[in-house]
Amino acid sequence: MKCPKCGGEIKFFDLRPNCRHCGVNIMYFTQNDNLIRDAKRTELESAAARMIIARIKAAFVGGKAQIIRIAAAVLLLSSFLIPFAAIYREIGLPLLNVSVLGLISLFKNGSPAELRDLVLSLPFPKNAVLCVVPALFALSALISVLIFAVLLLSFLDLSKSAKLMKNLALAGAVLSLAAQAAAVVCDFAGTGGAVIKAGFGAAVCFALFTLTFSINSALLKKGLEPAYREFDPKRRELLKKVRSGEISLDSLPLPVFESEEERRERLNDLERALKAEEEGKKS
Amino acid sequence: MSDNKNVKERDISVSGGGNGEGTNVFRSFNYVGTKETIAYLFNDWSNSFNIEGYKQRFIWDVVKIDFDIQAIVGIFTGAWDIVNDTFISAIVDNTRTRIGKFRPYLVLFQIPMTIIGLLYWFIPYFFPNTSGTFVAKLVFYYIFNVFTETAGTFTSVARSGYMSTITPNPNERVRLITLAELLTGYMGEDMPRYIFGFMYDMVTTGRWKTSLRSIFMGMGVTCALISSAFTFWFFLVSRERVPQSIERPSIKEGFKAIFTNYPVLLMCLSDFLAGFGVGTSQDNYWIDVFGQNSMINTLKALVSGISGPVGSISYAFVAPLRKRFSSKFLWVGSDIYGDAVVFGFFLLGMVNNNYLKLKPMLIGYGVTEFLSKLLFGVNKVINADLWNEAMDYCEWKHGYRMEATTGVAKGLVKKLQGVFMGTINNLVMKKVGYIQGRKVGTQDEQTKKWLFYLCTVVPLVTSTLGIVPKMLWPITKKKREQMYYELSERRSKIVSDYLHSVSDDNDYEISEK
Repeated sequence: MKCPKCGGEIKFFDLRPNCRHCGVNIMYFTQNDNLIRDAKRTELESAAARMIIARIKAAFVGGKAQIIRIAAAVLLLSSFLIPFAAIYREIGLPLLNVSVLGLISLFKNGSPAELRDLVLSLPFPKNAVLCVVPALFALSALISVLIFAVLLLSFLDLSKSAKLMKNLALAGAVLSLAAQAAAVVCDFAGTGGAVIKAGFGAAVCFALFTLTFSINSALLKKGLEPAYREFDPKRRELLKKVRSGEISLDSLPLPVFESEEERRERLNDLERALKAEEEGKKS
Repeated sequence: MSDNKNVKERDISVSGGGNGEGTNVFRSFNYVGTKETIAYLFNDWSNSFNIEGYKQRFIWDVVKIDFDIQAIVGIFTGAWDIVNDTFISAIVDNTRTRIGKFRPYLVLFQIPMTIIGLLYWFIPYFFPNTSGTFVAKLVFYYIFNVFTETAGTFTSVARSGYMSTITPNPNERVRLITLAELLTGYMGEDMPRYIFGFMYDMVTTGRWKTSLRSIFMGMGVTCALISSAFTFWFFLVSRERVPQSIERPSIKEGFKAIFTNYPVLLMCLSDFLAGFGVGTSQDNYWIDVFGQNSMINTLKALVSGISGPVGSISYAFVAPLRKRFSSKFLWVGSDIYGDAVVFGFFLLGMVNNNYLKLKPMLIGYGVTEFLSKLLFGVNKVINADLWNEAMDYCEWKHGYRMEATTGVAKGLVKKLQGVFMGTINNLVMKKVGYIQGRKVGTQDEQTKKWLFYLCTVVPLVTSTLGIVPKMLWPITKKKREQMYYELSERRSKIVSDYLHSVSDDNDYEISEK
């Protein structure tokens, strides 16, 4: 590095406090400049951090609708514990409960082969009918996982994520309604060689998908605007320019921006400190 | 206020300290940016990312150093500790480099210390199947302790002083402490403790066919490497921002500051009086009373985990409590509250000999954890901030900072006492009939009873006087404001005067454009 005063070369392992060329105390000489630069950089970076927090607040706790949206997404995931239907080889123990727990149990107890054999033993289109409800279950479950993932990342873009969740919820509602209808039809009509008993899991999912759709539509209509502090968007823009090298920190004033409220707060703090100093001196 | 219109009005001249609008670069701003804040969080996280809580079990049951020998070694290493603390603190406080007072020690010592520290976990491999009085092992243990203690003193003294100098803004300091204490729990700083507790249970209950020394070595080394890496990163990216005096204070002045710095004196006295507490870790009670037949560490972790969120929520109480009550009230109040919770747990254990019954004690443990966590945030923030305040008080009163010397003085009192109390605690363990190396859960009934007393009522009663000095804390709210205002003005003036004195034509002025 070079001495900040005389420009003389200072070796990396030379930790002496004073420059060996001009004798200046390096820490003291650069103290103010470094503090000023740090203060400016921190002001800009804090604004970026505050904006993310404001978006997180707006996405998750900005209003009752956002909170209901979180509850709906979590309930939606949980609703896949309720069976869409139960598939039996004969009346008796189910071969597969079309639910998350049922799938875990199927693989744990080693029955996938039995299920596969059942499907293969039936002629087309009976075996296709047997697969309809599980397939719709899987697609609905995938959509609910996607909705939850989008919800978690919704703070990145509030409007786009709400739109995406709305569309996914619509697709999910259609699929779950189809799944419920298919389960009921298969229950009554039968598939010959296998028995399907309809559950109500799909109906619950449909209700929750519909709720998710309605909430996101309402939020899009109302508008999802995070409450940024005054000047924070400008600070963030300036930070990008500083990071890209377009503007140097040294060319900015300190504070970079200051709202009336911030200025008032700072001067109030100063007034209190001056008062405390006077009282301290008197005592 | 329009930003463009007031750009000129906000021009500041450092030498002038502002244009009448009260801007002083040593006050009113935040200086620790995002990267440094994240590094600060990881540094704080790495302080707890270890299995230190099980070190005593490591020595008792795996390395096996006889209690009597430990007591004697403790006296010698403790005495050496006291001696080296004194001159190391003087060395650190008299250090002046272009990167600061503390950073050279932190950056240069971190890697060597880590490498040497790893050897600790290999002691059972160097001396396998040896008794508690095997001479070669004892000699190695003693030399290793002395060496790591000496080198560790440089880093620990420098580290504690460093934390009070990364920002001159006391509010920013409190914000960093609060953020670190709040978030590091979620970052998994306690994971090693829980994971190791599970592993320990699996080995002691015979479910895993592996040795205790293997799991100690594996976890100890892993945690040391990970935490060291993050600590090193923090020391590289952070900076000292509170200027030390150019002139080094004399050693005499330095030691005088310990007695003239009233807040430091009170803290030392409080630690001294509380240091008479005799006892043992609660973990020893749980392991030695219930460890034989249950996965006790895992159970405790689960019970404690239920009230986990309470600890985080407690940080929300910090700001309103600090606004409403003085630091003194919070400091004293939290002490009394903690004692009351421990006493309640003791009473539960005494009723119908519940201390021998797992279910009621686990429930009691859950309740005490919940109650303790309610004031968790306040305790953490207040204790850290009061020390930083005491350091600033020294600079305000004397014009120089003696973080290392006063830190060591505070620690010295504890250590002097610790040498004595450590010996007492080891002898007490022997007196209550604790037999080292016995299978967990098979100590005598009387020993188990004493283990319970020694983690509840005994330390409570023997350390109670520590609260008295806390009641005399002198820095009121108003005094604090006066102190920080005057400090910021003085720092600004000192730097500005220095810049004037070294400028080529003596009218050096830094202006913000």
